Amino acid sequence: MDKATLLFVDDELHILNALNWLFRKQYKVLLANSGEEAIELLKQHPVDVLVSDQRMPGMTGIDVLREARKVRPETLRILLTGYSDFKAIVGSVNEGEVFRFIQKPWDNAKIREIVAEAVEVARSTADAARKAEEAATHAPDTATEAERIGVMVLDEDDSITESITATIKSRHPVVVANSLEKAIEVLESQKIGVLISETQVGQTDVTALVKLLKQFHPEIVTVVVTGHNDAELVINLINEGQIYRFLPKPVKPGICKINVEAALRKHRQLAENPDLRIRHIVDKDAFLKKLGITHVAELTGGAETSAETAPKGFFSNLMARLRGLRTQTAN
Amino acid sequence: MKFKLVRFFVLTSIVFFFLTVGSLSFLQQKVAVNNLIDTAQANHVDLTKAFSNSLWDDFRPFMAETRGLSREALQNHPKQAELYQKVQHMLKGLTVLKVKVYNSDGLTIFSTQKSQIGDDKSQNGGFLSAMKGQPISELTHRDSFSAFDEVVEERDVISSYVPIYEKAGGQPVGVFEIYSDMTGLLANVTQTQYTVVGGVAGLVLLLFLSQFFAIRHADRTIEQQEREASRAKLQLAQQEKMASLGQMVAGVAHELNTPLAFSRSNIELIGEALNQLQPAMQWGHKLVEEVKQQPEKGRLKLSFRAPELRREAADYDPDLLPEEVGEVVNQTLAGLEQMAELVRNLKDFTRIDRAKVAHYEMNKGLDNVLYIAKSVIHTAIQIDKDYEDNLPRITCMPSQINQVFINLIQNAAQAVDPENGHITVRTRADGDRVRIEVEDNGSGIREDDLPHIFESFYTTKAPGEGTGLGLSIVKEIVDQHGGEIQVQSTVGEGTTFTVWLPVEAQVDNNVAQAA
Repeated sequence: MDKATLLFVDDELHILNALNWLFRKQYKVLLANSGEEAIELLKQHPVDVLVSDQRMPGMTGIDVLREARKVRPETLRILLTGYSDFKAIVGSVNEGEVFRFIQKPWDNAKIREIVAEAVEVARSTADAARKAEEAATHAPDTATEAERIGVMVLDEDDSITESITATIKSRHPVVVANSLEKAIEVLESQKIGVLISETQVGQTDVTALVKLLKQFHPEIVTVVVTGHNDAELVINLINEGQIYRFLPKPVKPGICKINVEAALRKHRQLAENPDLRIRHIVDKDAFLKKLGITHVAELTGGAETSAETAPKGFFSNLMARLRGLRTQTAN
Repeated sequence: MKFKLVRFFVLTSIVFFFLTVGSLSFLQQKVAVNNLIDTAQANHVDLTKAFSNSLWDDFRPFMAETRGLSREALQNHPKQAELYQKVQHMLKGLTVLKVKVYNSDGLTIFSTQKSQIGDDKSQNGGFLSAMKGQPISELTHRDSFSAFDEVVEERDVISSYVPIYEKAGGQPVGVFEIYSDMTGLLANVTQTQYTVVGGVAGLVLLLFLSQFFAIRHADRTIEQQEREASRAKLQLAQQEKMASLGQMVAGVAHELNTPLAFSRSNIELIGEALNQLQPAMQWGHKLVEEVKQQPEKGRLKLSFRAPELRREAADYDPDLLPEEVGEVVNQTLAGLEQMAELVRNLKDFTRIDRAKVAHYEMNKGLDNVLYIAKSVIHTAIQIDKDYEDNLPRITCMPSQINQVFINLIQNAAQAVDPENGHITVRTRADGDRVRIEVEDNGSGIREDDLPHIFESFYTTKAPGEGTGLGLSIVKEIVDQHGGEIQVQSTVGEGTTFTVWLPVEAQVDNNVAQAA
């Protein structure tokens, strides 16, 4: 197998040099001094992983990601950010479907790890991604198909739950959960394909659940709709929760509809191409290790989790562990 | 000088007070006295009629007899004593002090004061008026006055000239002059005047006091509101300053981040590379040492063994080649220099000293401002510098002048389209001033807004995006520096802000240099 190809985009030559020195031994490295140059390179060469700076004159990082998605959908996209500009971050999630954020200044070991992971994911799913993207662009909206997708809305905000329910109720079953407990109960008893979630319900932070879900059910597509507009939060939700969309409140019903439809299509794509799921997974073992769990079976009393439904008690046990961990850190 | 409402009110009120009371008193007195005179004259006319009715039979022949007589003859006329008796009898008990009778030639043919008999009054205004049929009266004050039997003192006297008619509708045949004592009545008038003036003064004073308290209250309220408003404005200005400072800090942090990112990465890489290069360095070192030990000519005998060398060489695969390390170090140093420059600029920009600085070089200061501004504004906006070399220096507070231009440049950056925005910063010497222009090709300012843009709290930005204080602060600072600011704008074409700042005085320069 030949070397994987990386493409780095930054207007600062010193950054390109540093990244080149860092990766040239293991990978074939392409360097672009601007977004326009990057898109040209992308058209000429197959690229596994694209790493772009956000703040550049001319095309910004989001523009590069958006264009790259069109030119080479199979290329995994990583955004390099220094200045945490909320709008840019949200744009890169919703328009650029960014795989990870790397914050400047980076740690060499960490950036190598993220890039290695991205390369692995990209290489193992490139064909599937290409095909799926083609299928998605050519296929009509298949919402009326027989297969129904379970949608869970985890929010207390009635306007959101109502607008979503109204949009898709006729085609897909919608469950509204207004507490973490209710959400866990639903997850353990029903098959859910799309999760539309706030980051905070009542006084409870539910981002842990969002992240947790992605660890074990990468086929569940998450749309976060929240009033907490914080760039760090988005970065965290992407890097650890692989959320599909981030919609800052207030959300216009039209925008909400488009994104929920997109999430439904995405879920169908993932359900049909199990190979693609790896593109939406975060390191499960590392995550469990953080919780002090060596094997998943510890939580389920011997039963293995499947992609379909989690065994009873799995999520509640995991959440309990997670909370225990929080309290420890707090102390 | 500040307008003091209470003082203004008190002064105008006092003037008004005296004018009112004075004119009222004057008018009242005038009317009362005129009434008095009119009444007295009517009395005198009646008296004259009564006189002619009852005494004319005596006077008619007397008048005819005395025509042409000399003064002495008149005074000593035998009828005089009889007439005096009759007149005195008739006027007894009245306030009449004196009576005179003139014939139609103006000769005094009779007077209760004997010495005046024979006086010629033909040219007297009163006599002439009465001869034309018009009675006339006047009020005078006499220190002493000869009445019938005595001389009275300090009297107010009304005298009237009244025509005497022989038959109704005819010509006057003579004139009667009557003097009445008005002292008592006039005293009454004065008394009334005092009462009225006193009463009015009291009322006006009451009115004044009530107004005074109302106005003082209003004045204090206004003053308090002004204090609150200026405090609120100060607070807002402070907030705006903090907000723009926060924005700047974020921008500068980003600017620092880039060199920090690659410098750190490079140093980490060099650290790793040095480890990886360890064998090469050790072997190379050993080799050089051995060569040094050997004679300068002839074959070298080295102690290296092939298996050992091969083993080391097999694992040797450094990320960086030895000759590359220097370049990585150089780039890292360049990164450190970038950070140092940023910190230097930041230090110059945020001079905390509020004192005035002489010999300030405007071009250098603007470079500093532009360096900082670039970290805050959109990267695609093009900024051009058009400086005049050898610009005269100015005396100013650098931190404040920096604030002026960062405000103007930020405004310009907000007005332009990020894709093809263009800002030009221009400096020129202009007489004894320095002219600085900040020109943009942005959206421009509407004509309606132009006259107001330097007013506090005037903003065309959406609520929450600006307090409307930015440009008012700019103007305040420019004014404080004895400068001037102007704006030209065309909607859709762009805006130019022009600031003039006075060049430092030549004398100051010499003094400063001498010191």
